[in-house]
Amino acid sequence: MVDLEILYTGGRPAISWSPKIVYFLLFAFSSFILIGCAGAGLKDARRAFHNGDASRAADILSEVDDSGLSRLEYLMEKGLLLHQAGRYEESVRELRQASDLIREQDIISVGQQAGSLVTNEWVTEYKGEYCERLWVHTYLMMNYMLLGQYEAALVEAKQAQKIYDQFPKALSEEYFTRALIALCYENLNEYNDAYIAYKKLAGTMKNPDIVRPDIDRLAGILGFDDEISNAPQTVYTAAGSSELVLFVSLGNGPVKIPGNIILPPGIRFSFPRYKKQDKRVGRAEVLDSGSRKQAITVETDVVGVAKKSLDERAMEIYVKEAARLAAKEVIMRKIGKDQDDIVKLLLRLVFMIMEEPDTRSWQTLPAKLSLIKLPLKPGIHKIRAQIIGGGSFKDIDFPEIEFFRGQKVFYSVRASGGSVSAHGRKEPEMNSESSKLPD
Amino acid sequence: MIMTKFAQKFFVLLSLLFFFVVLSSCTVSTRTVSPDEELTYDETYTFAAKKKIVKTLVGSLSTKPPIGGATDRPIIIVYGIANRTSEHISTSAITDEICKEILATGKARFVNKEQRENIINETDYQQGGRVASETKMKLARQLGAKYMLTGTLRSIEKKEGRQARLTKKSYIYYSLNLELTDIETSLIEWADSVELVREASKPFIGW
Repeated sequence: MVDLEILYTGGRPAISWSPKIVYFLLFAFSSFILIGCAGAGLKDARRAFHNGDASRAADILSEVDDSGLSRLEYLMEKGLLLHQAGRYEESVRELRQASDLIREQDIISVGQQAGSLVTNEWVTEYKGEYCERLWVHTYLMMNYMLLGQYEAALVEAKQAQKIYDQFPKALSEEYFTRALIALCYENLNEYNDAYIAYKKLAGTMKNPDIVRPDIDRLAGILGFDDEISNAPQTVYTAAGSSELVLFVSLGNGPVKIPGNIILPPGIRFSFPRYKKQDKRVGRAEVLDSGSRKQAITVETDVVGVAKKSLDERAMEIYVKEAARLAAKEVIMRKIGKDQDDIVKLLLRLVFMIMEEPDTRSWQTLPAKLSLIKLPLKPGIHKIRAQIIGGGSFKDIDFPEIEFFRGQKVFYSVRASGGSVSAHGRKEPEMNSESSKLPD
Repeated sequence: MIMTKFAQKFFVLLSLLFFFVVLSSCTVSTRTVSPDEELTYDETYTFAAKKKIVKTLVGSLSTKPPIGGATDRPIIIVYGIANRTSEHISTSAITDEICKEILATGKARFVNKEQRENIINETDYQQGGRVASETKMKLARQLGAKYMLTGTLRSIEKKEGRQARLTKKSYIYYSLNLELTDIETSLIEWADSVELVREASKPFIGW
């Protein structure tokens, strides 16, 4: 074997660089480049979004090649940005691709897994946390409802239900999507399925009384009189009432950061963990012509669900990390055999740096998702949404809306970092008018 | 020595074979497929499934009463098929095909509900004074439908439970129910359904 000799001058001894060390360093270097390149464009888009321009953020991502290992991350981010910009058809296109990709990723790639055993998780395709896989369908449901395509929304509701069935523990505190599933059934007058969905939701909630008005109302429609509670009704429930449905996203969701444990003699045990971005998120309340209204509000703490979802995968992460450390130790001893101490130290340092946890995640998610349903008498209403206890958010004033008998009006509202946006649509069969609020 | 030469030739041949396999897998190939050919890649709804569904239901609708025995070519309006599956399926493709097949039998006629707005626009235009009176459409000549065709497409999906194995099996049961309702009496005069089950086996591990 021919050694490549790199001679250092200045009185220090020469270090012998065997080809295997040079190849290893090249390999390590390319792995660093992979980590460094991942996220190009995403940062700019996220910055634009946090500056209050979701539409521009989505356009930034449109110019980025999203065909790499982080394609799912790009598609999810773009889908959400387009949703917040009120570009629902485009958002559907991106999120449907994300949904298809998740299905394709069902197969474990031996090549990627083998590669990740000697490098890190960045060389594998990003598959999304369990909760992220669910939220792809959540945003699709919202998009379809805002487009008045209830049948397609129900298809997504059924796909979301499959994710719940697959990961029941990780998603046990995700109430918002369960409420959306029930709403999807209700929109198509599938009252029995809606009733079951609300009952399931109530069964998972700490305070099931929140959805008691929905359960009682549907029990009444279905003739399940003995299922109707005697509790006084807290919301307006007259027959033929119209309804304002708000999908409220508050604050900024969590981001993944590296967690590290350094063990002697220089072994880095790393893993991803979630960190919340907003200390205070607050809650949304609704006023009609200045007076506070009692609405049915179902909330999900996105940060809590994301953490629980990652915790559910923790054992898998730790086992893989231990296997990787063992594999790297074997490689290091093999390459470092008969080498100078300084080379061994350098190798250990390179391995330590290379041990970078996979911190890819859906970062434009809100910190809290709230479904607010406000039954209203048909007629003209002047609605205001107030964010209570969430820092410097403004009140959100909706335009005067005329509600017809039995009509639903949907709005998606986002309030984060001091900026507010809202886009909505009336049920298309009644009135296809679409309106956009000034930011 | 002979064995060494043989081994050398064998390895050259094997390398060439491998090269051609790799080359052929890297080239783009296309072929024209007959619409009657059944192509299935997974357990989900396909074009072949649609063909099978339509063939069965058209056979039933066109031979059984009230359409089967009618001599006056009754008029039907299609109110669509509700999709209650967990897939995004365009059910209008099923109704379009059913219309086409029933029209081909000559047993019934269909009101073009989808083109109503365009028909109104065209009629209004013709009545607007720009069209010669002898070619102008006469008003109130549209025919009312006697029957309404509706249906629901449902699916039930089942997957094998979690256990140690290299492949996982899943199947989807599809059921399409069609109804023909007499609009005047609200009676369901004909109903039928077609069912099909698709099974797929997928590997857990790939390259």
